[in-house]
Amino acid sequence: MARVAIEEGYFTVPDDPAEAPRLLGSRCGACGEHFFPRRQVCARCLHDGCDDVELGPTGRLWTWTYVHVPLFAKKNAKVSAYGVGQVDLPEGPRVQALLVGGPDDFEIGMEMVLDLETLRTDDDGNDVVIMRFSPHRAAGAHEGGERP
Amino acid sequence: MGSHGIKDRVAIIGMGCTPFREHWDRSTDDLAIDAVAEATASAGVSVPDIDAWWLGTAQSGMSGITLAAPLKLEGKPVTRVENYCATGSEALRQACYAVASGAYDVAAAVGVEKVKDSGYQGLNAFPIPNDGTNRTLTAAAMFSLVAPAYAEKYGVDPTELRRTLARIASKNHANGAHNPRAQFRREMDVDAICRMPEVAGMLSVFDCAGVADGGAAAIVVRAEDAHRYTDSPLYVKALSFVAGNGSGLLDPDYDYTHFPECEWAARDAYAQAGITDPRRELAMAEVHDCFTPTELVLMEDLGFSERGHAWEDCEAGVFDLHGDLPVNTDGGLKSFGHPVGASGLRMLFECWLQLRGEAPEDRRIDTAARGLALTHNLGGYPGEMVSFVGIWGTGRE
Repeated sequence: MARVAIEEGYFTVPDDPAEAPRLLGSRCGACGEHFFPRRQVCARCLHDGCDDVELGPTGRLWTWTYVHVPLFAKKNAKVSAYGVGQVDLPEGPRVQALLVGGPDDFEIGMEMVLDLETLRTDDDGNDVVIMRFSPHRAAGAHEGGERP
Repeated sequence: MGSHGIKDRVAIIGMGCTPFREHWDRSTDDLAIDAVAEATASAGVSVPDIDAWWLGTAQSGMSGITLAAPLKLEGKPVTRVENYCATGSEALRQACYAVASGAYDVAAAVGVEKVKDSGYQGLNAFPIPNDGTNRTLTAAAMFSLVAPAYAEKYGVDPTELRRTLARIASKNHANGAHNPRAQFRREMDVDAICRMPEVAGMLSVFDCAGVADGGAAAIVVRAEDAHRYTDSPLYVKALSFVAGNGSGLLDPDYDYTHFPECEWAARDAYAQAGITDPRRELAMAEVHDCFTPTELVLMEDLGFSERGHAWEDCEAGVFDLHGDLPVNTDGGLKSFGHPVGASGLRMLFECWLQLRGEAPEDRRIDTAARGLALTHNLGGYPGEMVSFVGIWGTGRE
């Protein structure tokens, strides 16, 4: 069964489910600043003509919260609470995204990795996926977690 | 070029403020009329004596007709303003400038909001201008992001910080318990607040301000005319406003432990008023405690505490009712709820009572030595907000 992004233009959906997705961002051709999501004009130097690049898939958790009263999930009875974090990508941008895990699973500075979650199945039988970050449990993930 | 302010050129001569609560039996019109009636009686003027009006309401009506119709004004200018959660203060700011310019002799600022009829449990979302990629979270969740970032930056144990936040709420509820105009009038201790249902991050239900219906009004004249109306006017020392450009959303240098828009507004206000040491010169402050981490960070942004030390000052009772610098002596947004158009003027109403020695005895503070008060609003979210700072005083240079 194929996987399709809930919204085109924000993240890749690799054919191999074991492969980490990447964020679809931009790099300014003039000053080199990176952005997510994509943009045409650089927000730093106003150069018109950013290049498409792929960002991530890892990042570090800057700050986070765990939402017990979801504003936008009231229409989905299966969602009662969720984590949200600000994740700093190695290329520079800070991305706000859903987090995988419970309220005791997050720690500032921890390494996070992007993955995809199936939200529903569409009429053609495809898995509709959304992006989120989960704690990277690999050895040494917490090293270098000091803030600048 | 420069921000010069209008220090001591405008005086407040009368104020009114309705109770803030679920006014099921009162319309927006009723609340505006009640606030204006109390303000005009307090100033000893009648509605036709007022030459121009500014109405602050975020979502309870459009255009000046929202006020002109219930007050049955005839041939008078009414300007409706909106600036997020600083809407009430913005109405007052414009009324003060109108009087200072000489355009009008007597002006009124009225703030009113009927929130409880909206059918939402919180404030109905403002449509913040965006490019379609903005953050979508509850306001509580947005401000809850501040707490872990603050704890990490300053090396505060998150468990300890959580109790400090609850202490802020507890302090404001203790003050509000003494205020008949407040919506929530029960004292809440730190343990009880920590046990309340969780909302987002460290925040429980009682770390969040409620919503309410309410109205408030102020009448202003040129300072030299003030004593024709009252022996104890308040003089406008500073009016400052900053609309952030939203760069905190894009810029990873924004660290979620401070609100630059509030720092800028405070710096400008202190310059206008000639204040160099707010912690020791102000008698009191009414600040925008929409969520407890907001009040914590504001103590630093407004220059009351050193960076990274507001949590210690909160724990030491510096901002308690009889602390060195009492903050939110009326109970704050925590006790009142937040009818957006009215809140800024409700804060000024508390300064009006306290600086003139008219606050009820059980929450009265000693303002004689310092004679200056500050009000502050913010609207929006960390990284993209507006901020107002006003300073008011009993003396005139």
